[in-house]
This record gives sequence, C-alpha cells and structure tokens, in this order.
Amino acid sequence: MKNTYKILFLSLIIGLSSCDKFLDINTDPTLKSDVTLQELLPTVLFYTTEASYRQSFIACQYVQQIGSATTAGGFDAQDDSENAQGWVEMYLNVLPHLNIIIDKATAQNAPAYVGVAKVLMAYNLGLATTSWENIPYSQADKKNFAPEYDSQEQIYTAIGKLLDEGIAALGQSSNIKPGIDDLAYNGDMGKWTRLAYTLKARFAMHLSKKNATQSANIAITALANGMKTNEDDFKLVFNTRNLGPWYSRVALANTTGNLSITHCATLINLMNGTAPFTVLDPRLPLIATLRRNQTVYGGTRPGANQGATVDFTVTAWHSRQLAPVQMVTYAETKAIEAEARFIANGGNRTSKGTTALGYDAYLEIAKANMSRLGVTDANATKYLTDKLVAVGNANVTLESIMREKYKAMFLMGDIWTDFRRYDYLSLPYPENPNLDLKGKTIQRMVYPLSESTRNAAVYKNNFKDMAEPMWMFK
Amino acid sequence: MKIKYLQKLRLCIVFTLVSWQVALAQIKGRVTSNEDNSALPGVNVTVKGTQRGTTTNSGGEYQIAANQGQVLVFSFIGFANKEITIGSQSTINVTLMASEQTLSEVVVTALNIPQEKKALGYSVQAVSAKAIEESGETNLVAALQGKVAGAIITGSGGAPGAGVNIILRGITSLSGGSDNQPLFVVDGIIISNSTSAGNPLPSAGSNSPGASEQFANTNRAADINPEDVENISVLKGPAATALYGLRASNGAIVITTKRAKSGKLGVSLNASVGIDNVAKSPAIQTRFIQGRLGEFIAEDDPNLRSIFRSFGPALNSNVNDKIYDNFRDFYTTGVRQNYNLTLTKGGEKGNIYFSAGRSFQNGIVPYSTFGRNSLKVVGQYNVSKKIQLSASANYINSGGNRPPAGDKSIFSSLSYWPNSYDVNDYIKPDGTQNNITFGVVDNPLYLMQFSPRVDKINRLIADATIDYKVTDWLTAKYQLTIDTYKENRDRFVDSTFDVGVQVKGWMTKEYLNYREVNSNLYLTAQKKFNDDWSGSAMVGNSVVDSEQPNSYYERGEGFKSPFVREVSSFRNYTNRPYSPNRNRIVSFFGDVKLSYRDILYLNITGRNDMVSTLPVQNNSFVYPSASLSYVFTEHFLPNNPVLSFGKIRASWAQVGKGTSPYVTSLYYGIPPNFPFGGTVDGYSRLSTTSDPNLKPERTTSMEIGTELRFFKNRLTVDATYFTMDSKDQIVNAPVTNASGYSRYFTNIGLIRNSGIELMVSARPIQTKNFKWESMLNYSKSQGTVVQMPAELQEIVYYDNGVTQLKVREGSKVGDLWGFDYRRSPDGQAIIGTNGFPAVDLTQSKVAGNALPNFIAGWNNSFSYKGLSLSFMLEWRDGGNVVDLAEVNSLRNGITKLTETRYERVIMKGVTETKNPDGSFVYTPNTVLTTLDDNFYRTASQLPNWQGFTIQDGSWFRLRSMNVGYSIPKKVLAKSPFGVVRFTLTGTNLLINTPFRGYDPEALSFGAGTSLIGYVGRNAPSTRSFQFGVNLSLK
Repeated sequence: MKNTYKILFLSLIIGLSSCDKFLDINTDPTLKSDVTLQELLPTVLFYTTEASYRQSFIACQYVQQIGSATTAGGFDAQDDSENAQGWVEMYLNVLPHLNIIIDKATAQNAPAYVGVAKVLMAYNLGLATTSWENIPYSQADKKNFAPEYDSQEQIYTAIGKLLDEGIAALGQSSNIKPGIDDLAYNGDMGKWTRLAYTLKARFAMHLSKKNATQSANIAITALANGMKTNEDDFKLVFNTRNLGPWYSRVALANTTGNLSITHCATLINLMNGTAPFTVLDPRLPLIATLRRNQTVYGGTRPGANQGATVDFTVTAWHSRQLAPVQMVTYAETKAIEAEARFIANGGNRTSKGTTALGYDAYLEIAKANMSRLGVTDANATKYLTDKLVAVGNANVTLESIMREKYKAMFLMGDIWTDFRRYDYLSLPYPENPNLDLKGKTIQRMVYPLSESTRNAAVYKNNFKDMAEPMWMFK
Repeated sequence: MKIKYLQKLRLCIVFTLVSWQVALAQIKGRVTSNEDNSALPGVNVTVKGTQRGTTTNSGGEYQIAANQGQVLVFSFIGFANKEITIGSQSTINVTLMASEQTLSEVVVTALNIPQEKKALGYSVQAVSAKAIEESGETNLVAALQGKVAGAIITGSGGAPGAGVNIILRGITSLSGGSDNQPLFVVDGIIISNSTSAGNPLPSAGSNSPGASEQFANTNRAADINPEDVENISVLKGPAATALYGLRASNGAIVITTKRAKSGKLGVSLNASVGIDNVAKSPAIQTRFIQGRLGEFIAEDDPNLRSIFRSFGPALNSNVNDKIYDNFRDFYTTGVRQNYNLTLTKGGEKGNIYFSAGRSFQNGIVPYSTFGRNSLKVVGQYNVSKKIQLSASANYINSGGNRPPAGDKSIFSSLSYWPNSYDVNDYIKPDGTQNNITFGVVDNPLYLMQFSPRVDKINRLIADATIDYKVTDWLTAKYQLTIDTYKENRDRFVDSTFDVGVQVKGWMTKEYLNYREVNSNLYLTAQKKFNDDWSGSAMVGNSVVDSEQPNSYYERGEGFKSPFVREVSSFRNYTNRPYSPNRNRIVSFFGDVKLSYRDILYLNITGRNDMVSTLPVQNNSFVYPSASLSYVFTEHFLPNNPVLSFGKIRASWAQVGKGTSPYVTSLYYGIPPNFPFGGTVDGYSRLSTTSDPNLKPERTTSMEIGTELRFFKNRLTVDATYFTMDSKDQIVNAPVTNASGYSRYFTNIGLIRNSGIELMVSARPIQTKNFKWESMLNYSKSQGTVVQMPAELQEIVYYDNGVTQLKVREGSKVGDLWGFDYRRSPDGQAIIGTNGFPAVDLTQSKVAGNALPNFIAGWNNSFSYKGLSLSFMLEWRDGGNVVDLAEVNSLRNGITKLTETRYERVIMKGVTETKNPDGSFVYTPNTVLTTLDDNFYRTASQLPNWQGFTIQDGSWFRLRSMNVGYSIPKKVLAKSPFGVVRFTLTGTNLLINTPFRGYDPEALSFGAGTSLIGYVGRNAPSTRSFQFGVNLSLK
C-alpha cells in the first residue's frame, strides 16, 4: 500500500517536472518567425499597388473618369466611401512592413533599402492622407489599440522629411541592394531617386492652395531631378499568374455579369470629338471597348448608370491581362511641371499663357501618355497639332493643362486632389447626387467602420463632414 | 448488453471493504433481461449492508457468499434494481426489468463512470439506442434532435453528409470562429467533432463571405455508426463535466457503444432502404412570365439582362409560355441505404464485439452522394481475477460528392433562375452547358454534375485499456486512445463557370490530417465508514497530444494544356501548408464522493490543467466543483403513495479554458499572390497578435434542480435552472488596423447565460400488453453580454450589408440587426412623394434574435405486443433567420410575395412636411401608387427592409414517426431467428413555419459555427421514408 502511494507521488513529481518541456510546442512550424529584406519588399510593392488600385477605383469615379455600371447614385454621384480595404492595405500590409524594412536595413547598413522604404512610406502616406485627411502615423503600428491620428499638416511634414532622408539614403553606396525583389524598378536606384523627386513635386503642388507660387517653385526645383522618360514610371506590371485588378476584377468579372464600373461620359466626351472638346482622341479606342452592336462611344452619365456604350474588356489597355497598375508616371510629372510653370509665370484659374518650357511640358503630357499607350506617331502628331490642343504658349490655360492631366492620369487616383484644389473645375454635378452633401462636392473618404467601432474616441475627434474641405485644400 | 469495463468501474463505486462474517453460504444464480430473456453479464450483485459484491460473468451467472435473511441487490445500467431476501434456497435466478425511468436508474457520467442518477447533484440526460434508431438519422448528432432539453441542434441542410451543429446551454464563447459545441467521448475516447471548412475558394472571383458556407461539411462525429451506440449521456453543465475539464466547457456527449451480451455467438443484421424528398420549398408566383414592367423583353437583350426578371406579361397571353417550379423540380428523389451486421461472442475469459456497417445516400441534389463504411472490433480479456484488458478499433471510411453552396453556387444560381425557364434543361447535345443567362450565373444542375467537391476520409478510432484491481478497495485503470484521420478533398472548376472565370479555371486538392492521442490514468479507492456513511476518492491524470500533421492544399489556376483534371494542368500552382495546430494538455484531477444512506450525496472535484497554448506564466490553472443531491422523500416522506421520489440538487462549478495553438507568437506567412510571377518570394506579418499575459478564461456555473416522481414513478418531473458566467473570455477581438494588427487575442468581458430545462416523462398506460410512454423536453435560455471592454464597442460576426449578427455591451447573444423604414416619432412609416416608405440605411437596430425563445420536443411511444408506434413532435419558438437567397428571387419576381403586382395601393404610414420653424408635421398618407417591379427591386423599398430581411424562423414539426412490428417469438420458434422486426420510419413529415423559404433549419455557415441565423444558400432539408428489417439469429 505504501508503495502504491510512493509510485503515485513519484509519477506526479516526474510528470510535473517534465511538463514544461512537454508543453513547449506552441510554435507554428509552417510559418516563419523572421524574414529578410528581400522577402518583405515585394510584399510592400504588391500591397502599395493594391492600395493604389483601391483608392483609384473610388477617386476616379468622384472625378468622373469612370462610373458605376450597377447602380444609379453610386460613387460617380459622389456617394460616400470608406475605402475600407484601402485602409487595411495601408495599415496591415504596407506600413508595418516598411517599418520593419527601415529597422532591419538600418541595422544591416543597407541604405538602398532604407531609401526605397522611405520613398514608399511617403507615397503611401500621401495616398492615405489625401483620402482621409488626419491619419494614424506616429502612433501607428505600435500595438497601441487606440492610436491618435496625426494631423494632415504633420503628415505633410513627415512626408517631406521621409523624401529628403530617402533621397539621401538612395544616394549612399549600399552593399545590399534590391534586385528582382524590387518589382517596380528591378534595383535601379536612379529610378527610385527620380520617383522621389517627382513625389516631392507632387506633394508640393498638393499644397498649392496654401501658397501657389511657393508650391510651384518647390515643384520646379524638384523636377530638375524628377522622372525623365516613360521608363521611369512607377508601376507594377502583372503577369499570367498574378492577374491585375482592372483585368481580373473588372474586365473578367464583366464577362459573367458581375458588373462594377464602366467609363464615364465626362471623360468619353472629352475624347470622342463631341462638345465640349471636339478633338477626336486617338487613345479612346485603346482605353474603351464598344459593346456589341454599338458604334458610337458614350460613357455613363455621372450618377445615372445610363448612356454607356463602352466597357472595360480584356482588350482595353488598362484592363488587359498584362496591364500595369500605374501609380506615378512621367506623363504626370510633365503635368505637374506644366502646372507649376504656369503658376510660377503668374498664372491663375482665369489667366492665359505660360512660358515656353511650360508649354513644352503641357504638350509632353499627352505625347508621353500616347507613347505609353501605343498610339501611332501619326495619330499622336495629328492630335498634338490640332488647333484645340496646340494652342500656343500664350493661350494655355489651367483648364487645358488639367484636361490633359485628367486624360493622361486615367485610373490614377491622385487626379482627385487636383480637382479638389480647383473646386472640381468644370465637372458636371452628378445625377442622383449624394443628398448628404447638400449640393456641395465630396472632399474626403469617410473613415472605415472598423475605426468607428474599434477606435471610437479617436475616430470621433477626427470625424468631419464629407463636404468639409481638408486642411490641405484650405 | 452492457460494457464490461464500465461494469468494473461501477464495481469500483459500490465495492467496499469486506468485513468477514462466519458461516456464509454460497448463493449462485443467473441474471436475465425481461426484454428477451438473454443473460446479463456484468450485473452488480451485492449483499446489502455489507461490502461484499461480485458481478455476473458473460453467461449472466454469479456466485456470492451470503447469509440467510440477508438481502441481495442486483443493479445494472438501464435496469431497475432488484432486491431479494435470501431464503433457504442456494440458487437465485433473477430477471431484471429494463427501464429508462426507474428509481435506481443508472446513468453514465464524466469519464464514463456509471452512477445512480439519484446521487447526482447536476442534470444529466440519457438517450437510448432505441430513441436513436427511431430518429431514422444516420448522423448521430441529428439523432438527438428533440430528445435533449437544453440542446439546440441545427443542421446545415439536406445535402448528404451535411454537418449538424449542437449547442448545449447557449453560446459561451464570443469569438467569431469559436466552436461552442460539446466534447464528444466514445467509450472514454475523446473524438474529434470538428467541421473543417478548408480552403475551397479561388484566389479571385468569389464574393463568398467565408469558406464555411461553400459546402455543408460533415461534422466528424457523424463518422460514428449509430448502430454501434448503446446509449448517449448528455452532460450539460460545468458541474457534470468537471472531470473532463477545459475541453468540455461547453458540455459533453458521452457515448457508450454496444458490447457482447451473452456467451453464445450473437448475430444480428439490420438493413434499411429509404427515399428522400425536399421537405419544403419556397412558394413561387405562377402568373407572370419574363419581362419588365409587364412587358415581354427578348431574352437575348444583354443590355437589359431582362432574362432574370419575371416581371413580364401575365401567363395567359401566350399558350406556349409555361411556369416552372424550379425550387422544387430541380431536386430529385434521393435514395438511402443502410446495412449493418453485428457479431458478438462472450465467455469466461472475455468477450468480443464486431460490427460492419455501410450507409450510402444519393441526395436530393442530383449527383450528390455520401457514404460511410464502418468496421468496429471491441474485445475484452480477463487475464486474471485482478487484471482485465480491453481494446477497440473503429475504422471508418466516409465521403461523397458535395454540392457547392453559398456564393456562386447551385443554390445561389437557383435563387436567380427565372421561372419562365426549366432549370433542368441544362445541357446541349455536345455536352456543353445550356446557359440561358449568358454566363451571369451557372446552370445549377450543370455545375453540380461537372463541379462537385469530392471528398474521402479514412479514420481510425482505437483504444487499449487495462483495469487492475490492486486490492479490494483500490482499483487502477489506464486507457490509451487515438483518433486519427486523413481526408482528401478535390474540386475542379473549369473556366466557363462563374466562380472560375476570373482565374481562368481552377482546381483545389486539400489534404487534411488529424491525430490525437490521449493517455488516462485513474486510481479509485472505496470506503464504507459505517452503515450510514460511505465514500470514494479518485485521482487521475490525463495527457492530450493533438495535431493536424502534414496538412496542406494545392491549388492550380489558369487551365492549360494538356487540359487534364490535375493541378499540374494549371498555369499558377500554389501549395500551402495548413497549420498543424499542435497542442498538448496535461491534467491532474481528483474526485471525492460522500454519501449518507440513500439521502444525501456530496461530490467534490478539483482539476488542474496545464496547456501548451497559453503563456508559460499562465498555462496552469485549477478549478473546483461541488454538487449535492438531497433525496428528501427518503428523509421525510418514505413510501408516499403520491410522491414516490423527490430530490433537490444543487451544484457549483468552475471550468477554465485555454486558447487556440500558436496565438502567442508573431509570424510571417506567404500572402496570396506570392511568389509573384511564380518566382519572387514575399512574406507578410500575420495580422493577429495577442496579449503577452493571456489568461485562461473561466466559466462559473450554478445549477439547481429537482426531480420528482409521482404515482410509483409513472410520472416524473425534472426541472433545472442554471446560470453560467463566462468571464475573462479569450476573444480574438477585432482591433483598429492602425495598431498594425487586425485581431488581438485578449481576455475580455462577461457573458451570462441562464435558462431552465424541464423534462416530464410519463407512462399514462401500462398494462401487460399495451404501453404508452410519453416524454417532454422543454428548455429556454438566453445569453447576455454583460461587459465589453471600453475600446471595443461591438463584435460583428457577420454583415451581409443589410443585416448583421453582432453583439454590444448589454445585448443578447444572437441578436440580428437590420434596417427599418424611416419612422415618425410615434413609430409610423414615413411615406415619400413616390408613395412608398424608404429604408433608413444610416442606423441599424436590433430586429430579431437568431436563438429560439424556447424549444420543446415531445415523444410518444406506444407498444402493443410486437407492434410499436412512436412519434416525435418538436417545436422551436422564435429564432429569427435571414434567407440569403430570397432577395434574388424577390428582386426578379419569382417568389409568391411578388405576385401582388400592378395594383393601386395607398401604403400605410404618414407623410412628412417641414414647417417654416423647422419642426415636422405628419399627416396620414393618401398617395395612390402602383406596386410594380420597382417596389420589389429598389433596395430602399422592400429588399433592404428588416421586415423583409429578418424573418421569423419558428417551426413546429413532426420530426419523426416510427412504426415497428416484431414477429412473435412463438412464430419464430422453429426458425433460426431470435428476432425479426420490421420498421417504417418517416422524418420531417410535417413542418409548419411562417418562414417563406425552404426549411429554416439549415445553417448556411455549417456546423461548428457561431454565425447562426443565416440560411437559404445551401441544400434544403429533406423529408424521408425508410423501411428497415432487423434480424437476429438465435
């Protein structure tokens, strides 16, 4: 009997002492606990692209490049949008990984990666702040479950600092450099540097309402080192395994009736030779495909879900299988320059005339974009020499620069900031408009529902009416 | 009939120290059952008032030393105790009366310990093999429907092999993916009842809210062959399951399987065949054909896509037009077959049980199938008087062709299918799809024929046990168990299908493996202190090692040459591992029982669990339970003619709970779309993190109850009230993404569940030949979220855009939120200038609750000689549901609801006018308007209104009806057969429900989900008729 107790007691002791080791199995062997710079950069670039697509999908409806093909009163009627998935991409898939790259690259003395990451951080912060205004940054990705948002002013300061530091880092010699993991530039540090300078110009012009001339001068200075050719475009090219979003989610989905968007009449009417801009644009058949039995190009009337004779198909340039998602382009760079030189020359919304350099930049917008889209030289020349396009430097207006920018930045959401800077220019007010705007125009995306339920107090402090202009536009 | 090793345990409890007396005579005899006169092995025979006892051998024989005048007590599970005073005879043969409702009823409790029910301080409900058989169900969980008070059992539709969900005493875990189902234990072997959703979706092109809705995956307890089951004990609360610890924090289903009944070879054979049909289908409008606004529009006008709209002219305008009831005619008659062979043999040295079962079903969805083959061997060998060895092995092979459900599935397509067209006209002569919708949706029949999911599982459940009688007061038992399976799932979707087009066709192959090993050791000591007091003590240890090793999926996308149905024939190949989810638990536990005569029973338990899943500093936790049973009739009212028996029971128990494996560390995984281009690797940090100081969650339960028996046990009333506070819940809480994470495992909140359970059983008529037994189960419970952390306002489980299943502080678990019409201050709908009310989509409000107000099951069985009749009525009151498919049929003018059209109406409500001072006046609406397509199609009018989206899912049904006839023994006398019995079973024979769709009892998100209340996009439940024959050889 005593023995029984002894055995029992002994086995208890043995059991307890070996327990800790026995239970130490709580690590998932199918996942990694650490990764390399080369394994993070592709992820960041992929999700930066996703975030850009998400933002463009909505912003380009707000500016009437595209419109809803499913419902009247959609985003093309300035319906409010959370862009919740865009928020997810920014805060779960981009920002944390950029922070890790910056930390790791700093520790490993790899300034090339530091530079790339800082430029990407600046780009993404710009994407986010122009969507939602105040956004989490300095307290983000810190496992803080009620992070305060930074003001937009603070974000622009941070962006400037990131770009300067990024440019400096890109200029240093680096033993460890990106290669095939750099899905955008394949490790070309020169292209990254030119992107950084173009971004400096883009963000400077974003603040043109604060001080137009100062913005223009900063932009012009930066652009001396900005993108030089279409080869400098910042984009992600998809492939037969990774299908681009405009192809897979829009064009292919169209074929099974899962409709989403089509081209908006506002854009189509600037290209199909009808009023108000009667030049036939050779890019039109490349970006829009006529529906069965249709012969006349027409877009959906903003907010109406009516009038479209065209669709995104697998043959259209932006929605074909190997189409890139474009994020910052040389054509945009020239548009920024054209506007900056126009303003630096004393131009304003009602004035006419720019400098010779400004006029060259203006013409280069369409030229570069047509070259990118594969328009024949003859067709491009025909367009560029049309009297409504080749107006001469004395007759260039802000509207004409913005018209070219609008067409060249098809499906690139940053065009929305231009329209907000200039009170939506001459865009028609949509049918079935968002009644909550009370006749005004939409100025922001609303914070995602996840913020209102999971970070409620901070959300409340930062919430603003969607017709209220952002700090940057005041 | 009963299990030998159970009987040993039973013995442990009644076994007491032997006090030697002089001049004992040897009494021997044989114990038989009154049911079929078969010998009963394992019956406990004790001498009353002494510690002497024995059990009958496999021939039902016993031998015991006793004096004249002493009383022998014969007791056995499922039989009434019998006491016989010893006279001068030396042979005492005894016939025990089988009964489920006797004073000394014995039930199986935690760790398969049989106990007298009257000694229990908590509620336990037993379900017999007969009741399971009468249900006509092949899924064991479904077989429990209506038979257990406090159990909410909901199927996931009528696809063969569809999973069934069971919740005991409400939902206690708030986390979205948490499984609130009880632990399943078969003969001491903990088995997996998981329902695995897997990864059945393509990388793009699906709007599915989750994998769990895509196929009504089987809950793994369905692998158990119901024919092997002897009885099921349902342990509902933490007091009942205290000895199982954390894994049974949602209750336990303790299954005891059949064993050899007697010495000679027993052979029995059961066979049944049956048919299935759709139980209930949505009513359709039969007056209007395709078109819009009353006009016919050509079907090939792609711009208008009018093919989907049945808002055209009235049927009688063209003799060639016809209306098809696709919701009914799509389904075919299913056929089910079930065969089972059982061989048993017992002897002095042990016994053996063998069974082979096969069930096969062709479902009501054409081409859907499910089959289960089961082989089971159980053996027991008595090495010596002190040592007994036993082992069992159950091999199961199951699987079938599963119909795709949910988004872009058979059932979503069917909900769109215009009733001007026959859905069964589906294939062209060249074998391609005859798709009238231009690819917008797939023909459901074609989709099922060419793109089902095919799965196959091989499973082994086995154990080895040794029982050792150390001394006459101390016993030891060791049991080693294993449950392991390998499952393969394949699906091929070609690029023409809606769900395949965006990735140009795809195929997935999944390999899901599971293995769990359990080691259990128990030491039990018995002590009788004196004539009044006796007790027992048990200590035990268990070790669990569970994992899903080498599980992964392969997916190919972009079909390419050579165009064979293999993942190698796809451009984009992905191979990803599933987490092995390895987890271990080491537990020590103790149990002390003390009883005072037959009056007072006290049971105290304690358990210490150490889990691998929590941080080291918090991974060991201890929790106690105490329960008391007081038989007051024995104390105050013995032999009362009205109240034959009365007891009060009370218990208090705690149970802890760990968390999922691996959540305490940070990881990087490969996101979708990588390697980019097939060559460039990419990793991303997982977006789930955890509190570094994560603690075990704790549920504290209090239960009081009473059991009253009247008129010599002819009427029994058993009532229970319980509360359960689940505190420090481990919740996978959604957090602001700006934290760098989307979910955070932390301890939060408090949920309080409370409810009552009532069981009434009666034998209103009991004569020699005629018997009527009646049993009523009733339960009502609710859960409230008492506390949520300040930083978390709500947890949304599911949001389909127009309804939400979510909780907030103070809300009820299961609340469904919807959107109402804009209303005036006095609650009237505000009618717009168009004459219609408009839904206010800015503010959702509680519009229902997915959990029922109460559920009740009433079973009646009648027997007259060899003839028997039983039927089960079931009533579920309340429990709102959202039909995910109905809106398609509404907007396209298919459902009966839309038959009211082109009528001039004045909608009930008020119109709103604004005064110059900004105030509003409301006047009764007088706007005359027309109910046309727009009313049914415009989102803000009917389709999004909570009055449409959230329906009453109450039902009343004739769950099952069973008629049986046994050929009289006299007739069989000269035949080789001992039993010949014929049965006719019908299930789901009548359903009465206000719900407009198919049977509301068909969870969209499958078994094991907390996404309750959503139905409609899966196979409807069935009505079946089965004819069976049971034979057993003499």
